Amino acid sequence: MGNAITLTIDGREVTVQEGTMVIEAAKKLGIEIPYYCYHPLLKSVGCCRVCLVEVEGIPKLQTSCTLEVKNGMVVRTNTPLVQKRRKGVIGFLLANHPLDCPVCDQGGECDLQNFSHRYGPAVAKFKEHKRTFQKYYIGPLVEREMNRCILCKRCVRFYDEYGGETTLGEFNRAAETDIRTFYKTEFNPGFSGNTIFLCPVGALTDKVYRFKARVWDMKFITSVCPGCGTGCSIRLWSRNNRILRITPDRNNNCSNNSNHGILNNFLCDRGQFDFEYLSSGERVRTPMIKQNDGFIPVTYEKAMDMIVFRLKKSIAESGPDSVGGIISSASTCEEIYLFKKLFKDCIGSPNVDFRSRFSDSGQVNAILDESAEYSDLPGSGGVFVLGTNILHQQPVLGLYLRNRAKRKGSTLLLAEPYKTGMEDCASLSVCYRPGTEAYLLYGLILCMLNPENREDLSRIEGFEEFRNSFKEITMEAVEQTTGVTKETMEKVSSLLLDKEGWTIIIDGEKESLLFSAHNLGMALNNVQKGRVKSKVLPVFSQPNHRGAMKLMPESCNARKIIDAALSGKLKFLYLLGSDPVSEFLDRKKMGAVLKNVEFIVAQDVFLTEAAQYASIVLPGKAPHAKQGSFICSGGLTRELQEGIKEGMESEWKTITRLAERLGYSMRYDIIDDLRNEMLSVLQKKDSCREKFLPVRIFEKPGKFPFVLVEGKNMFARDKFISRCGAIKFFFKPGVCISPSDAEKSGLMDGDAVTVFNNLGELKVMVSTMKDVQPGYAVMTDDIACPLNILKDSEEGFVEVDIRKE
Amino acid sequence: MSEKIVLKYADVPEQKNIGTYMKNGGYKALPRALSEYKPDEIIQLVDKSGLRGRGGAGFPTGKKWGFIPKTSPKPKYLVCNADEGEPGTFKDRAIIEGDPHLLIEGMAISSYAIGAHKAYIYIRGEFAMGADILVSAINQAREAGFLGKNVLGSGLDIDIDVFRGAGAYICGEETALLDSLEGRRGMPRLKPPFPVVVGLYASPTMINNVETLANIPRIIDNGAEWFAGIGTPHSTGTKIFCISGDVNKPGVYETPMGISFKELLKMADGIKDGKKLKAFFPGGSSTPILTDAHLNIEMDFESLKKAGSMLGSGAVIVLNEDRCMVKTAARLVKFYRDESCGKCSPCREGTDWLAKVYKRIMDNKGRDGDIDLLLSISHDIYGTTFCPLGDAATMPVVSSIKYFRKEYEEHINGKCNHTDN
Repeated sequence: MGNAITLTIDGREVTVQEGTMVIEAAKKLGIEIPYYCYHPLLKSVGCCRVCLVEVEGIPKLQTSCTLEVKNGMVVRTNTPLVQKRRKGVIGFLLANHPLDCPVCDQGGECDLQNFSHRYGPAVAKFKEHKRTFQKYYIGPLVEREMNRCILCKRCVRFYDEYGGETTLGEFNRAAETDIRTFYKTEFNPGFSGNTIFLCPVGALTDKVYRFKARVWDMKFITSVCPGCGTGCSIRLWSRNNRILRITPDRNNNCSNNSNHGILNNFLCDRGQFDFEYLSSGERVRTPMIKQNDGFIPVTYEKAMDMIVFRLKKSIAESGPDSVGGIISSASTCEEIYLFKKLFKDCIGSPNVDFRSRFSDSGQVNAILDESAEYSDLPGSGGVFVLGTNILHQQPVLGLYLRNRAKRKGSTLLLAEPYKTGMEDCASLSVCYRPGTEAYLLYGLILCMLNPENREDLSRIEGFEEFRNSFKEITMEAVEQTTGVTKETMEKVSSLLLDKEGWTIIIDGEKESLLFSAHNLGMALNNVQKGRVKSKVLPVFSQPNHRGAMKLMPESCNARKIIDAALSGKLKFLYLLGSDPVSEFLDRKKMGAVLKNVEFIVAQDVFLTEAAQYASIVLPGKAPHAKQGSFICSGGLTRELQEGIKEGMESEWKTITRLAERLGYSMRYDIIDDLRNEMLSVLQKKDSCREKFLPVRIFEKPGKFPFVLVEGKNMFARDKFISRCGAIKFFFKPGVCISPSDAEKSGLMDGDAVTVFNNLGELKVMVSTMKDVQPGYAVMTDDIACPLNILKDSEEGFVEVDIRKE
Repeated sequence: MSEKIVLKYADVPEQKNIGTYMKNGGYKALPRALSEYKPDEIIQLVDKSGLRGRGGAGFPTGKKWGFIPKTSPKPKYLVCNADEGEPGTFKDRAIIEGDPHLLIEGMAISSYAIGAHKAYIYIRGEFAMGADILVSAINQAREAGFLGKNVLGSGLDIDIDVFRGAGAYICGEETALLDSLEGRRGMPRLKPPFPVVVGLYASPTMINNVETLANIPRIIDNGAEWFAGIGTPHSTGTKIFCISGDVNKPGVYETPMGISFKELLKMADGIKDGKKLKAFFPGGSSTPILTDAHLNIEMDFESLKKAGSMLGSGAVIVLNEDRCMVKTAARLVKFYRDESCGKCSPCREGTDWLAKVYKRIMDNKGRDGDIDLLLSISHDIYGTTFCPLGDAATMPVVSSIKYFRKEYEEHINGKCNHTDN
């Protein structure tokens, strides 16, 4: 990067990188310069004028947040003149400020309080009427109190630099300048909560946390957000064993080196507000056994006795193969590790897994071991987001990518089946027909191998097989299938060849996509032969998917367990955090499957649909209240901490107790003992030989007129979000089709429709969007609209029809 | 006595028609510039003439042109600042309405000198007539081949567009002007980078005042030595003064730099109604007030600076003995308070505070200590603001208190007996 620059601040020398601002250089020396408008994550604007310093050779005072360091520069931050002017400027900011600190939620962590206390005037000279602004509602998450605003505009700049839409703006002028949403609409949920923490004063405060506590009465613990695979660091703030708010874990100097600026800076509104479920009355808090049609609470001892009795009976009568367990990929690594150990080593049953989808896990695991980590992102030549709505699947990663492209001008390439809102900052975006990713990527590889740039890839293992995956291998066939023209594909492939070291971001839950992306990376690396390798970065909706894959590489596939259950071979099933009814394919069938199992133990935070079939229900600790670790999609091990103490037994303890009762030694006093053992297993890496992998090609059955496309929405309700009052109404389930299809079927926006196929039907509202291609119907999985009613295959085409109610 | 350069033909009827303009020697400088000079030579010529910016700051024009990066791969732009918003100023309007082709010719030559192919005139929104006149003059010039593609067969494309502002005073500040021109809310930008390097559409941009650009054809016509011979050694050429206030003949007067204020007052036929001079703003409302003690001051950049004021835009506002200085300052502070863009805290909050104190004093609710309060607020604004607007707002306050503190005291004690109240 830049050269080293040495300058003197307050008589002390400091050496920093070229391009650093004086305020940051001073911070390095431990010299505090007060500031409001400046923020390390935003561009400097120099408008609050509090960070003024004296610089030798410059007659006027300079704002240190906009002043770049120069060799030999002599800066003084605390001269009488600086002190005087600083006092003056802080006095100006206080002049019209209401000073309603006793009822302001920012109190205690307010920069205006802190800097006024340290640097402000001792006497308030302002004796005139204070100006006031009109209040209005900006939504359920953020409260706007314009009277307190000091117009640093961090919130406006956050949306300009990170957000896709212009949500906030300045209105009016002079002393009447007002920060408002356009047309006084509500704040768009998504990332609006970040403005709360960017706001240095109490102008934008947390509505969920409003008047709940004073900041000095709370304690916080640093944990990891369980909302998605990103693995953001969060602080869980609690008082009297209740979580009151969540903030990003941003330390004061905001250094974003440790996690490459991804995990510590911002949160999405889901991650920030998804904690209200913790105190829900529907929580399972004690063990329960089924009696008649309901559940009655029992003690842990009694529940354990019953479980052990049935487990032993099943093993004795039908062998260990009659016992199985399904765990969720939202469980911690420790739980997954022990769960597997319980079944494989203690019971001796192969029936243990977390996945409802993958079939060929060996290859997937090898790809994962080679795939990108967050640390690869800063050095990558470009980012190729393929077929995932990243802003909703891993929102904060999406925010990072958008800022990277928008502010730092790095290359972002998008290929997506429908518009996702990232297009504005992309170097190039391509829209293809949903479900044709394999063809698209094959087409791109074909373009790379154009005559003048011919590179014989067939020498590499697996290329022939990969090529033979396709029936038609001409460019025309690719064009026809994907709906992307040859010219566009050539543009994309030349952009791909232009930069080295791509990070290819794809939905890691789709196996065939993972293979296709791996093949594209292979092709790029072999054609370019560059120094920086292109890598795949799979993204996941579940927080520990990558960890689960790592810990259970030799999968038996949960579907085999389901098949065993269906055929009556399975007598005992342990569901840990997993709810096959709402998560697995073919919902109707799943009910029948679970009914077929003699004895089911379900351990979960809530009484899930699958738990209704259970003989015994055990309480599960909430992800915000348990210890353990996740491996996030970026490959980092992230540690969870107990935000609050919950009365129930930890899942890992339950597993060890069960194993001990079965006569198998699983003795861990604290979770750290367990973690060390687990980590030694994780160290093992599968070596992935350089080879292409065959991909599966799916055919459209052509039975129904619409192909179902699965959308993503961060607010789509699962068992947690549906119990968080602040955010549970943001997502409205529905089906989205193209205007031309709507016209053909005589449908209008807002019509009630039934989406159906041979498996089942869903009643939803219809909406139209011109970005959706004709013949496709976009739906998002939600508690009120479970798509597994319509699906019996994960990756092939699912077809549906729509009928007006 | 007075030698006119810029406004020489501004009174000629139909001067805004290209035919009349050419009959009076117009569009001779442009062909000469294109054929006889290389761009760098024009910059040198202007530098040698000593022409200084007429917008207010008085920066040497040739030197400023020299800052345009020669090797930038981006297009370069020339922007004419015709946002004449400084209270008391109406000189650019006289040029635009009286002799628009002079400005257009000046802009064409300047564009050639700095290598711009596109120039904009950012004209104050209220100058609807001026904008119309400019548009039709530009069309005439385009038809005659002085603008557009391949100007006069030189192979160069030079074109001018007129952009009307929306009424904010701050858009006269060059970077706020660029924001406004780009279609944004007009607010000053951070400097550096300066507009000569990163200006309009992040490209090198030269921003000059109307009067500055209108001088260019004359310098080409008559040479740098001729221009440097007019006025004083460091303030060359003429200056257009806009005299307003309590004089018998308010209006636009072009005279060589360095004329004494007394002479200027004589040109405007003295103070109205035989009253005595009390004070005057030498260069617009943003320049500190001077008093009758400065009657003999020479009106040029150096002399006024020495006296603690500025030549500014050359807007001379004359106040007679009946004028209440507190009211004058209060009115101007209100102006700056309303025109603060709201970006930086000292200007936004400070001007608002000043205005509130003045309002109170004017409502006969002044308090002891208000004068010191006004001064302390002004000192906290001065030098801490983002752009010069905040500094300008303190000028009438500090200078009026400096010379007329007694009037403030009288006001606060409820004893002001000026007839204009």
